[in-house]
Amino acid sequence: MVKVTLKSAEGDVFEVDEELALESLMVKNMIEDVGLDSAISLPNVSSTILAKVIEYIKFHMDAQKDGSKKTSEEIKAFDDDFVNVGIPTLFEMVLASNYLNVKSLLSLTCNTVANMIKTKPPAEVKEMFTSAKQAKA
Amino acid sequence: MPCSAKFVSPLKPSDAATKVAAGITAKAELSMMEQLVPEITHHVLSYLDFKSLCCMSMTNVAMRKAANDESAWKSLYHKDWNPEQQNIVPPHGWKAYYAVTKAVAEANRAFYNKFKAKSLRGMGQMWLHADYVKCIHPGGELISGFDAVMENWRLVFNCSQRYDFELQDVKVRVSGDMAWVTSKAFVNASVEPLLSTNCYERHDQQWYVVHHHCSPQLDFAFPDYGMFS
Repeated sequence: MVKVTLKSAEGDVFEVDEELALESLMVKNMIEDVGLDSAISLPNVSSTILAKVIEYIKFHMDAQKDGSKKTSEEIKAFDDDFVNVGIPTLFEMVLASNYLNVKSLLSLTCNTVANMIKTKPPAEVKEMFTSAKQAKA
Repeated sequence: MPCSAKFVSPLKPSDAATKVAAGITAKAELSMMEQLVPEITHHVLSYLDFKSLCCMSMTNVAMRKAANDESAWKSLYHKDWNPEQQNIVPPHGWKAYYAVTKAVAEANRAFYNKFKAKSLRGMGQMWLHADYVKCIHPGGELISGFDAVMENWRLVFNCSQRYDFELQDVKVRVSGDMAWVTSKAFVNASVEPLLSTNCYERHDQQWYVVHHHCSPQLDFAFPDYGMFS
C-alpha cells in the first residue's frame, strides 16, 4: 500500500494510506501535481484537526467496504459523537473540511452548525457565537 | 482513538506555520461565524429554514447580509413551495417573494379549512365584498357577485356531505396584488381529484378570494375535445 505523508500547520507529520488521502480532493490534486516524493504541506490545518479529519475518513472508508458490519445507526452514532465538540473545534473542522475539500465532512459539520442555529431566537444565536469567540480569544 | 495515521515525528514549526498561527490570533477578534469564508456561510445557511434565516439576519450586520442573500432565499423558495418559476425575477427580491407566497398559501389553506368546517361566516371573511367575484362549483353554473356566491355557499354547506380535502400539487404564483393557486383536491379520500383554481386579490395587506373554480378530472384516457367544437 502506497503511503502519503501529510504535514500539519505545526509541522507534525502524518503518514496515511494513499487511498485515504485521496478522499480529500485538495490532497488528490496536490498528488497529481507534485507526486508522492515529498510531504504534502497543509499550513491551514492544525495537528489536532488533521487527526480528527483522518479519523473521520478512516471510519467511513471502513464502513463502506464490503463485509463491513456497521449499521446505519452505528454510522450515525459515530457522526453524532464526532461533531459533539466545542464550537471553536467545530468551526475549525468546518474550515478544514472546506480547505481539504472533503464533501461529506463539510456537509456534516455545516449541518451541525445549522442545527445549533435552528429554533434559537436571535439573541441566543448571537450569544452562542460571541461566547465561542471569548472562549477562543 | 482508531486512526490509521502513524504519528512520525514532530518537526520544527516552519515560518509559514508561525504566520498562520499569528493570523489565527488576529482573526479571533471576529466571531466564529464571521471567520467562515462566504461559500461556507452559504453552505451552513442552506440547511436553515425560513424562521432560522430570519433569526440569523437579526444577529449582526455581516450575518444580516449573508442571511438575506438572494440565492439562499431562491433555493429555499423552490424547496418549500414549488420547483417551478425558475426564471422569474421577483421585483422585490426572493425573500419578499417567499413571504408573499407564504401569505397566499396560508389564505388558500384557510379557504379549504372553512370549506371543511362548513363555516358560512368564515367563508364570507375569505371573499372580497365585490360584485365581480365569481364561483364555479363542479358541474355548476357561473355565479357572480358576493351575495350570490355566499347564497350558493349556504346551499353547499347545507348538504349532508362531508368536505374533507386533501390538497396536492399546490402551486402559488403571485404578481403584484394578484395571486392564483392551482391544486388537486381529493375530497373524502376519493381517487380522482377535483382540479381547482383560486384567484386572490390583495386589499389592505389582506388576501381575499375573488375567484374559485373547481371541476372534476374525468376518468378518460383521452380528454373529450368534442365539447370545444
